[in-house]
Amino acid sequence: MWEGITTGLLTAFTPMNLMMVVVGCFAGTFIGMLPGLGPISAIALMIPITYGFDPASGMILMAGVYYGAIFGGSTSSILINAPGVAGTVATAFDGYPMAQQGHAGKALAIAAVSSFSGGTIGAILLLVAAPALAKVALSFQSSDYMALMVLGLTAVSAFTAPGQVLKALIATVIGLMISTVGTDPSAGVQRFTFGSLDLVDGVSFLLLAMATFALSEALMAVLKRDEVSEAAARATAGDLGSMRVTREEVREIIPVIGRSSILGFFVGVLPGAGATIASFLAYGAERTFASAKEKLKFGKGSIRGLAAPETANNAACTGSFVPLLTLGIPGSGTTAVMLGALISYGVQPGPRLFQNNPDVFWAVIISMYLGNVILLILNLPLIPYIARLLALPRQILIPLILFFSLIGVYLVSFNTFDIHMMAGFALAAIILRLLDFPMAPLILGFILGDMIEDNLRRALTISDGSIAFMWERPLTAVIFGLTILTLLAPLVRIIRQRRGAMLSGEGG
Amino acid sequence: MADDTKSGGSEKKHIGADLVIPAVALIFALYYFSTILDSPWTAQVSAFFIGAVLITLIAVFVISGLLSVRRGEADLGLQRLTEPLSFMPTRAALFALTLSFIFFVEWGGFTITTFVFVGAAMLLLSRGRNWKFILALSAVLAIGGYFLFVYAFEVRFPKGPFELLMAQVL
Repeated sequence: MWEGITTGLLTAFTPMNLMMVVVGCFAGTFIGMLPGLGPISAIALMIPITYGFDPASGMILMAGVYYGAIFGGSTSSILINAPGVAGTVATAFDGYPMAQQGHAGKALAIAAVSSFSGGTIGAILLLVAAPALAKVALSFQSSDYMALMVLGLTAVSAFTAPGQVLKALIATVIGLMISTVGTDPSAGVQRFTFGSLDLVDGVSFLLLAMATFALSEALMAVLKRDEVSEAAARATAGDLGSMRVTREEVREIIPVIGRSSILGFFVGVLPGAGATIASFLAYGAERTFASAKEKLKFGKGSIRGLAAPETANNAACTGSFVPLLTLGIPGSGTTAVMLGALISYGVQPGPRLFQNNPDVFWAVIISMYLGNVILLILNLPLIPYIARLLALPRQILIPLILFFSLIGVYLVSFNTFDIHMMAGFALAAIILRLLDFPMAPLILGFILGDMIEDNLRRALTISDGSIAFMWERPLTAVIFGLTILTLLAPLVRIIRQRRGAMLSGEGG
Repeated sequence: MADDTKSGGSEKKHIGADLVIPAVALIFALYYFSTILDSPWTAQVSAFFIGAVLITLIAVFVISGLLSVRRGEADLGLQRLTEPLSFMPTRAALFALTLSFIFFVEWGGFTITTFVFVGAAMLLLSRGRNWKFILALSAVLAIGGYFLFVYAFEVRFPKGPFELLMAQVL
């Protein structure tokens, strides 16, 4: 491990990669602050830029953008009650009331320190967990991988908002179908190509990511008009108040940070859960553990209520790298886009990444420490100034995002057909978004589709075409069992809700 | 959900538009089956598996939707696709501009098309306000983009009158 850490340090501390961390954190912080543009869009916009880079630099930049976006999202949550990313929704519960009471500076400082601590503790846990899990994963067979990927897909759908589970599952299958467009790798037949030669090689990951996230999010953002910019201008024009945190307050949040970091990290490791669920769980847990007196402060500016979700969301971001780096299986839409980027760099993620590309594996982990330090430096003294970027009018911002999305695809494909297809996918994505179909399961289905198909075929070949491997191999059977439970969970939730509603109806 | 009309408990969800995606997905699934019917079993297995899952999900989705219509909780209105109407023209115009960029960049070249696209999109969203600033910003972005991507990085963007002229000058 020490050899790996040294490799990671040597790779991460090159001037180029240090610059990548700084640029990634800054860009992520800025994009994360903008409500409507999530980390997936931010990362998708970075992919064309990183095409000429070596894989370690590309991943470092994207990792910086990811946790920068989560960091930045808290700023708009606290200042204007408009979470930049879903993972910072819970931050607004107590952060915004603090800002309204004239303690915006303190809220931003607590958020920065909590995020830093959560990210750093998460990175330490990642350092310990990732190599160990990678070694275990070397004994996995194709059927186990396939089962794990199916579990990842169903978990992402099962954890979506109530009422969206079925839509998420449909989006997942649509993603899987798009992934099978092109020439079948084993039989050589063309599938789903509409007779077009341009589709023989399948759909480019980059254009799908750009269309379903960057382009469609920019077009959807037209809805929000300038309300956010105006609120930001008002919030940042005034005095943010002191950023000083008292010794008592530090003492109060240290145990919160400890608990939320561990909770956040392990929730992040789970497929489908991610930063949003981690932040809500941490907030709920702190509220449950709080004394009756402290409980009353929650929702009205409690520093514990602010520190818990902020710590957990950053720890979860780091945790989500565990399945990505060790199994090659993304647990969320964001890490799915990163996986797509890694594959396009020619790097095959999974347990062998640890052996074949130790520079990428360790540099990403080390860059997380660096990123957290840089984000702390960036956020504490500079956040009042960075926050002013929130006031950038959307009429300037939206065309710029559209423009960068369009030229992004040109930068890597030089193919007019790809651009036309991107416009088609963007239109389809807008319709899906208008109808509340979540996009993350679609991109996850697309990214995992090829790998599921590949592993399914290998498993079928090993078992002479029999599907008995699903229950005959214990590990595969356990994972499939978990998949079924994950699928049943929303159903149980709906039945309970209906029964509760019926009982209260009868009672009333 | 966005369609939930929240003003009263008796108001219905409009789920008609929700059925558009499953209908299109079903057509795609059937086309998908048709493309692999004569293929070896290895090619058919994943297609039939994915298609079967999709058709099952669509069936569950449609049945649950129709049941909620029967219970009086929803209707088959298409409002979801058109609401909020006040924003539709802007969004449609912005999408049309994006399409125009894609199609005209082949003839107009990178620089001129970028200038027109960015400028028009900003003017559209700002409703003509600050037009001098917007035009200046668009010009800086287009010319800066030309020097960065076309001149410095030699990216093969489509060439138009501006690029040809600059090739003569530089």
